[in-house]
Amino acid sequence: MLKTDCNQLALEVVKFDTEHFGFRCATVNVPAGVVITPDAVDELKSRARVENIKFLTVMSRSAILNLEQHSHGVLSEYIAPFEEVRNRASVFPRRFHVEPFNDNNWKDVVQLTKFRSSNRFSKDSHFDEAAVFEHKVKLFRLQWQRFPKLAYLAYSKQSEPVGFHICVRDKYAVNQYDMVVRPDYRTGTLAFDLINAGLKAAYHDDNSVKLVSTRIYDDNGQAVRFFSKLGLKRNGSEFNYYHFWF
Amino acid sequence: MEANSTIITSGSDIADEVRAYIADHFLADFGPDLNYDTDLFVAGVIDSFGFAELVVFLEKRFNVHFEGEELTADNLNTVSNMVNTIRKKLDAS
Repeated sequence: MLKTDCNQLALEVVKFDTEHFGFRCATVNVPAGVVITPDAVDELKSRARVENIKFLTVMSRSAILNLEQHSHGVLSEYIAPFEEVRNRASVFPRRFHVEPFNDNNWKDVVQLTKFRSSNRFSKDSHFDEAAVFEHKVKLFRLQWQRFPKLAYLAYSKQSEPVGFHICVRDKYAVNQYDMVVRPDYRTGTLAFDLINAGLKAAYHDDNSVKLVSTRIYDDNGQAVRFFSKLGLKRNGSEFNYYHFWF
Repeated sequence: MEANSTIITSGSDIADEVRAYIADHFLADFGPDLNYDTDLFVAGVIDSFGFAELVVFLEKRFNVHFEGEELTADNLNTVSNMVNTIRKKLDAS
């Protein structure tokens, strides 16, 4: 594997901006095959300080050895042929009222997002829960604006939101970007309905889709099992996330 | 006589059939640690796919239909809860 001069690594600066939190943050995406050391991390932190960054994320495929700080999670990519996933997901008959998401439904998504699984942000003690939820909804909105046909909400008979699912696309793959299911409906059947709706919409939108992909934190065993049963396999592309605060 | 034409007369008949399906399909060994009140999700006997398959089996075998709202863990997470839910449906039909 290659070692690299960390000056070659770009700091992608963005603003984390919610009602609760607002600060400059940056992400470093370490290329595949490149190993960085704790010294290189120190150099990245120095550069971040100069740019008045408050929060630095380093995404590295290799774990950074001998670093005092542990990774905030390992996110792995899973993929499978589109047809295989569609066949497996269609095994269960549709039972829920699932409808395309529209701009009037944000309150329902906000309500549901409170039930989402923990992620690397909620595990970081620097973030409060409200900020994490708010950030998540903001990301949903960004993705929905890019792919407005690929987001779905499920409702109970009492018209309560019980599930939300959003996909994103590239040329050949539909990515299961995120799914939130109310805890009492986490038996799998609602998830099938949501995934079926997303796959159908993705195919209808562009039938050249060949793959289904998703990214799952390694400690989210329930999601790993669920997507594995749908045929998705880990393809080896994974990120260790490190957070640094200044 | 085909299995799905058997007349169900009691909750214990339902329980026996559900237990047999779970034992056979999910290789579950009922005993002191796994009984009719054991949460099958918590015990790791069934997962999302297993649940979907189980629901399909219950609907076919007992000629009942579950609405989405009924497919919660509270209704169908234990053999006892499955029996109660199916029994109510059969009584109501």
